[in-house]
Amino acid sequence: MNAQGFKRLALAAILAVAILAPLGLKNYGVYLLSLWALYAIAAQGLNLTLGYAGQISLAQAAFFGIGAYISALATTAGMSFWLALPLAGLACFIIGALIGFPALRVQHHYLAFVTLGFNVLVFLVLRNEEWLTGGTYGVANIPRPALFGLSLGGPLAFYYLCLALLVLMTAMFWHIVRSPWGRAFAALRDNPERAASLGISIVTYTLLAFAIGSAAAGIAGAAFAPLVEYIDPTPFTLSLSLAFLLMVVVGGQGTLTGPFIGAALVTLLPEWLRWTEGYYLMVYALAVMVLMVVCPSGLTGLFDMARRRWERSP
Amino acid sequence: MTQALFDARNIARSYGGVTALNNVSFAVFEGEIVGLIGPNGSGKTTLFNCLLGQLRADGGTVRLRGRDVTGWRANALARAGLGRTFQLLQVFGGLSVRDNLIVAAQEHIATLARRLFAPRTLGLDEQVEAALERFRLTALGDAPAASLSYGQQKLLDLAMALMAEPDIVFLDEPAGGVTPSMLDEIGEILLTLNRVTGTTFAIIEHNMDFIMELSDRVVVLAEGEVLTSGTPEEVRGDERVIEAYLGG
Repeated sequence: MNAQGFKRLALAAILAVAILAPLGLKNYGVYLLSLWALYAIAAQGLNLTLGYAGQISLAQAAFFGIGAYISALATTAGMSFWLALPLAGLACFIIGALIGFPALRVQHHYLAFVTLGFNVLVFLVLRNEEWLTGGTYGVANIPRPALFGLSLGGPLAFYYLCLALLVLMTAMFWHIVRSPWGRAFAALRDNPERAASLGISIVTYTLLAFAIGSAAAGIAGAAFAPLVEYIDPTPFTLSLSLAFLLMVVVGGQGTLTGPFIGAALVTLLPEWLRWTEGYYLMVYALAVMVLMVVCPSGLTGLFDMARRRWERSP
Repeated sequence: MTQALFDARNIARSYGGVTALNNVSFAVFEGEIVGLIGPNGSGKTTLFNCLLGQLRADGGTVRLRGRDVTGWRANALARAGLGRTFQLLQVFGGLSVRDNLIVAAQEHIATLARRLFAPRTLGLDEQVEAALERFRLTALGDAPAASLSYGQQKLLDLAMALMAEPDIVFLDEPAGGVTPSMLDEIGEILLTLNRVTGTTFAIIEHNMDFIMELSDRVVVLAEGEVLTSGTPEEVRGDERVIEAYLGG
C-alpha cells in the first residue's frame, strides 16, 4: 500500500473507532472523548500554523478561551449556538491574523515568547474584566444546542456533535493542505527567502496560517463551552497551550493524522495511567521523552517507520 | 537608444561604516546575457540582494521596463517579472520535485481566493512536464527535492527560477560546485533559452571561461564600484580587471 492509501486507511480507522468508542462508556468516558475531539480540532489548527507553515505559537489556548467565552456569553444571552460557533471562528480568525504580525518580524523562540505573552494577556483579561467575562466567577448555565428540534443535550448526542465538527474541520484542513495554499505554506516553512523570490507573499501566508490555525481553536472553544456548561479562566492558561503544542509534536507535526493521535494521548493517557497513582505524571513525561528521542517526528513518524519496515519484509 | 529592460542607477549600500556598494549603475537590455564578475567581496551578491528586494539599498533607483520598482518586496518583484536563483542552492526539500516547480509559478496564476479552490496543479501540468524534460528530471518528478543529488538540485533550482517565465532572470553562480559535464549542460540550457525563447539573463559567476563564453556583455565590480564593462574580449584585455583580480 502506498503512503496515500495508508493515510486514508488510518483516517477511516480513526473515524470508525471514534464512532463506536462511546457506545457502552459511562458519562465521564463520553465526556473525555468529546474533549478529545475538540482538542484535536484545536491541535489541527496549531498543526497548520506550526507543522505546515513553520510558525510556532504558544497562544492556542488563548484562542480556545476566546472562542469558549464568545460562545458562552452569546448563548447565555440568547443567541443561537449555530450563530455563536461561526462568530467565534471569525473573531479568532481576525485576532489570529493580528497575532501573526509579530511573526513577520521575529521567529522561533522569540515568536514563542510573543505568543506566550498574548496567552497571559488573554488570561488576565478573562480573569480581571469581570463586567464582561464574570471574572473568576465565570459563566454558568451555558445551554447545549439543538439541531432541527433534536436536542443535543445528552452526553452521547453532544459527543457526536463534537465528532461531526472534527470531521468537518478535518475535511477543511485536508483541502487546504492539498491546495496551492498548502504548497505555499510548506514553501514558507522550508525557505521563506526563496519563497518570496518566487512571488509568494510572506506577509499574506504567514497571517493566513495564524488566522486559520486560531480560527480552528476558536471553533473548538465555542463547542467546549456547552460541553462543560460552565467556564472560568482556569483552563485557558499557558499549560493548555503547551499541551496543544505537545499534541502536535507527539502526534507528528505536518501530518493530517498526527493531531488526532496527539490529542488522544494527551487527553486519555493520564486517565489510563491512573493505576500508577502518584507516579502517572512521571511515567507520562518519561514516555514523551523516550518518544522524542526515538522518533522526533512523533507517533505518525513511528508508524511510518513501521510501515516501511513491513513493506520491505518479504 | 532603446529603453533598458532592467536599469539600476546609483545603488548604494553600507554595513556600518563599510561601504559595500558605492553608486553602482548597470543596465540589461532585452535578450541580453550580462555577466557580472569581480573578486570576492566586490559586492556582487549584495548588489543582487539590493536589486531583488532581499536587502534595502541606502540609495539609488531600479526600473523594470521603465517602471520604477525601487524598494519593492521580493515577492512583488517576482510577480512583476524578475526571477532569480541564490548563491547557495535553495529548493524546498520537503516538497516533491513537481511541487517545487508548481510552487515556483503558482502565485502568478489567479487570485489568492481562487487558488484555494483551484485544481491542485493549477493547470500547470504541461509546463511542469516540459521543465522536467528540459532539465532531465522526469524520472524524479515525485521524489522529494531533498533526495536529489547536488547537481540535480542545482538544475531544479534553475528550472524553478524559469517556471513563471520571467522577463529577466538573475543567476548567482549557476556554475558553482557543479561537475564539468553538468556545467556544459547548464551553459547549453541557458544559451538555448536565450536564443530560442529570448530570455534575458544577468549572471554572477566566478568561472571565467563559462561566463565569458555565455555573455554578450560583462560588468566588472571591484570594491563596491563598477570598474568597467564591455564585451568579453574587451574586459579580458583590460589591465584594470587583471589588476583587480590579482590585487595589484
